[in-house]
Amino acid sequence: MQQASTWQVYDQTLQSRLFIGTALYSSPQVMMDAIKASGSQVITLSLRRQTPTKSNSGDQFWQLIQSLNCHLLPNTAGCYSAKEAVKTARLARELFQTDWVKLEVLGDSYNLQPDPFALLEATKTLIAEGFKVFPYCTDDLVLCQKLADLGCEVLMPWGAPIGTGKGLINPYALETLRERLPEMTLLVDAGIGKPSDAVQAMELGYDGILLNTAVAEALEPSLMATAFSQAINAGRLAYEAGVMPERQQAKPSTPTLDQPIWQQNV
Amino acid sequence: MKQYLVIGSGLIGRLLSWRLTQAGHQVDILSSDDKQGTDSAGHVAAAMIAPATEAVSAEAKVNEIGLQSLQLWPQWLAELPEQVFYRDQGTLVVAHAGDKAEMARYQRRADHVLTKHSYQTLDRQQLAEQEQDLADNFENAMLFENEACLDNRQLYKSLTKILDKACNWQQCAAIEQITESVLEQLCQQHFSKSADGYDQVIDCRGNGAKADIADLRSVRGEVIRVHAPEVSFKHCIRLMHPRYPFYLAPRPNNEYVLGATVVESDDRSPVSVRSGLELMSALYSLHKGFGEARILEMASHCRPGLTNNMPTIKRKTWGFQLNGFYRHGYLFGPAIINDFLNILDNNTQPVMFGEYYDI
Repeated sequence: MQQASTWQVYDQTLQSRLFIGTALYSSPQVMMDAIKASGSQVITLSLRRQTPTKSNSGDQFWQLIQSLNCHLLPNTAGCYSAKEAVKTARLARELFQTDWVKLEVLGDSYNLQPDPFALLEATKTLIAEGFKVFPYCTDDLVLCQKLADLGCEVLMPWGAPIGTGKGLINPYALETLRERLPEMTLLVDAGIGKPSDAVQAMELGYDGILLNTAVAEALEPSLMATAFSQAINAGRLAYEAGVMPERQQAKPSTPTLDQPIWQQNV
Repeated sequence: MKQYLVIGSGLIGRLLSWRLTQAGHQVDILSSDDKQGTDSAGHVAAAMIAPATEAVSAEAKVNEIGLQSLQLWPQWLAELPEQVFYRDQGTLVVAHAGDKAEMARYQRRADHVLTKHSYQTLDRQQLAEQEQDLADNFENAMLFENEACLDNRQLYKSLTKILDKACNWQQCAAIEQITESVLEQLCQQHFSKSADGYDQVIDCRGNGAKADIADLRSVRGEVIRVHAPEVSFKHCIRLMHPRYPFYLAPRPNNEYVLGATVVESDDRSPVSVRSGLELMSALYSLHKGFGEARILEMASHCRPGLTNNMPTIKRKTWGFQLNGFYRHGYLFGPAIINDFLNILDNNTQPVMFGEYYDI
């Protein structure tokens, strides 16, 4: 199967455009199988729940994650203030030995909406400390612009609130971000439910997708991981190929040379 | 009569030792825990035998193994000299209005994993017939009739008494790794005999066997035990929650055990404030009568899990390992031990769950 072009995320060149989470699987085996099937090269994991022990001995779950040979993107899931998120990011850098961080600062415990103000504050601090920040943000253009101004090379706006599987609830806003921030690496993070949601984002020109629940809560996670892998590749190929513009009137795909032009008007 | 050495006295170690003595064999037990089993995951557990509701969040095979245990438990408990509380009224699954989507997801998985008629859906009135007090808070429920729970503390006590009489039971320092030479040394030191003197050595150390089983990991769980005179639930209850479902198991005399957390960690520190708050608010949301309940205990422990979260029997040069019971000690214990007794007995019956064994 033809693969879409490679892409650059901070200092890494990647083939797969799917970032995948490690939560909600019924067993580590199911998680491993799904991650392998997804072909993902970046896995995101939360510090609180999957902390490697200092000695790294006996922490089997951590060893399983390492055995996948993927880039790790620690996240600050569950943090509700800039201070808490910064502290979590520092711990994550030390424990996971990476300066990548998916920065998540939540502002509302019902829809888990990012707090844009705290996010900016935490981003500023972490970039100054040399972190490569992947902010989980809303699809607000001004917020995204300010995150870019602070030095983020990657932005991860939501498609819909975490875990809802509602797909892209505001495609207009996401399209605007793509148009107005052409140099930024953009991933849709959160809200993806179906592979077609991922295709839609990729066709808009998004560089990648981050998801967890859509695969972990499928009845057959491995199969769904394969579906997403193929969908994301298809969406990217479509974007690279250039989607035809829509038109109002039908146009026959088979040329009918023997018919006069404008026959309906004749 | 054969001579067996069982290493470990958690739920699996003591159940196996008991079944071996019941079959007329001589059993020696070596364990780093006290005889009450206070350091064992099975001592902390909610002790639910919930084949279907556990399978829904795992795989269909969990139901199959669990149903086998569900048949064996009443038979086994009937052989004990003292009565052990065993409640087989089934499990009610409920969700608060805000978590309806979790309930729908759970039902969808149940339809995928289980066979038809594994559960009934109840409206408020039907729920009231099952559990009057729940119907005030919940407008519907799923009822899984074929599930049970038991009082693990009574069971541990009863088995301690029996095994203390029937077996030579020695305490030792934690055993990091078992090799033939380590085993020989332990046998000499604690039983003044050679390991060769045993027909089989069976390692049931659970988490203690981590250095010996490459893919064994610990999964932390936290429970709260309360005495709630105002609450008289008969069923086991699962409360849906976006992060992890809570499970409430009744005990005699209006006592209850509520558990929930599944954390990938070998952390054995006490219950965190966050977990404590979550557990207690879950209790209160089920029945206001829990507001005046008394907290008897808050405890955490780690379950020994393999990568597939399924149990295993492994043959080693020096004996056998039984491990990987994860959060399913009570659910899988009798079924797997029965299979193992049959293996020791040279397979007079077909082995039921051989796909998980390495023998």
